[in-house]
Amino acid sequence: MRLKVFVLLFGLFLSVSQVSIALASQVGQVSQTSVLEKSAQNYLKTSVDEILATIQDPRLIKAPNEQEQILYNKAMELFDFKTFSMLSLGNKYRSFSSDQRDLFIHYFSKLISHTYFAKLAGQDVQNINVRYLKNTPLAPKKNIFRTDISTLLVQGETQIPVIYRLIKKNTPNWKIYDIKVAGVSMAANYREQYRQHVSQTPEAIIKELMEKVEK
Amino acid sequence: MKKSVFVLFCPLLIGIFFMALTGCAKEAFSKSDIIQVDTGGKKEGAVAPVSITDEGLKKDQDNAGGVDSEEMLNQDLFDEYDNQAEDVQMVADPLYYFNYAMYSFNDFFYFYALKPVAQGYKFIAPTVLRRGVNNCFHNLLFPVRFINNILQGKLQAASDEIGVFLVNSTVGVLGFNQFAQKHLDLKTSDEDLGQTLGSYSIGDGFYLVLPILGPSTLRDALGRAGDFFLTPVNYVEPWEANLGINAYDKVNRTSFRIGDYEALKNASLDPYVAIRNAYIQNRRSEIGR
Repeated sequence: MRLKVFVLLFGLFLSVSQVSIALASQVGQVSQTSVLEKSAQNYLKTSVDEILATIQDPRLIKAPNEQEQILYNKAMELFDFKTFSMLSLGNKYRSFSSDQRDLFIHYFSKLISHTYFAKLAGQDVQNINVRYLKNTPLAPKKNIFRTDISTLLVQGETQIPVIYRLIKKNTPNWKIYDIKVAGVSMAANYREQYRQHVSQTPEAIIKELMEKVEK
Repeated sequence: MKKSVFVLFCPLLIGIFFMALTGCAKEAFSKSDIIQVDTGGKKEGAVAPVSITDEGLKKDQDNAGGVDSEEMLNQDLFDEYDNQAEDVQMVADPLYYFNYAMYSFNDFFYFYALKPVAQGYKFIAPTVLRRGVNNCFHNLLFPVRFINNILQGKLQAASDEIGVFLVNSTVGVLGFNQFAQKHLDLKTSDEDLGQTLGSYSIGDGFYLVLPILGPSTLRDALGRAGDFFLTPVNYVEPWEANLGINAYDKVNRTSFRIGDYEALKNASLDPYVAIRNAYIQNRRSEIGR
């Protein structure tokens, strides 16, 4: 009888201790998982879903101008075009005055959203599926948090790896500052283009960009 | 007696059950877990986000901080990128004039020959057929992928290739259907000799634009020549038939990508440089994979 009670108690103790270890380890894990990066992924996912929904919306497909405007607004909300521009201009960014920077950012954001969203809008996007693979946070710098979210864009048998690079400065939201499609970083691609034109002045760069957007 | 045994073992079973549960929980967490880079930022990250997520979804914002601090943050970030492997993506281009001529030719060829043909073909041929043909050509490249996986020491990938090839060639009817990918969760990886050479730390050499085949480098062009002998289609005779099959493959592939080239070209300020850089970046990522 005593033995039975002992075993019973021992078993109970074992299960209770397991539960508490389980809970403790889960609590520990959650704080370690860093809610910050989780929020980045959730934010990205919601935004991507919204964009796909806008592109697929049959009503908006019939009103391309309205669709473009909605997508542009969405892009302005989702992208950090300032950082994006900075990385795209590379060294040249330093030679831009504050007004010139604003102008550049304005036209650059238009170029990106017009060319890439216009391409998406014209495509068959019905069975696009985005798989979120992993988050890779970069070492934080003061108040700058950055994380790379690796995804896989799947449509039929085509699979394209897309990495969204997100940044959080002293703003509440995460924002995309670069996209790597199949290993090609857009910002680095622009940086290389600007580096090739060494002698181009800020005025010339803005003019070129403006003409490209308004064409 | 039986009852007492039950009483004895029941709590133990519960204990084991929870043990298993915690094991699972741990595994589930580690799968979705995020790789932490810096422990220094962890505490900050764990404290701040509650307000961030709540506010973040509700309202949009502009700079919460002053212009100065924003500028300073940018500066910090910028310095880092400045010092970072900026030159990594550069490639020598001693044959610039030849390459530019080839680029112009390919551009012309795309807009006046390949694209119209591919568009017409896309209009006529149902997607199922185009996909099937694509899969079929993919299946035929098995020797290239297999040998290069072996040469790179990727034995698991090589054995997967065999599995995919055997299953798709039989159940998938000559590779028309990708049965192995759909139902057996097997994958192929696009490997070629250029990547193999790259994985042996052989550099690009220099940039080279090939007529019709498009951007390449000295190393990748040599790789292509090697892979030529591993591609079954190239053993088809007479040469007219071989050419025809390759042309059809090209048109079929293009029919899936109409608009990609245009978008890249429209979005770039110097398309030649944009394509060169995109090619190099893409190859680097494939080699590093």
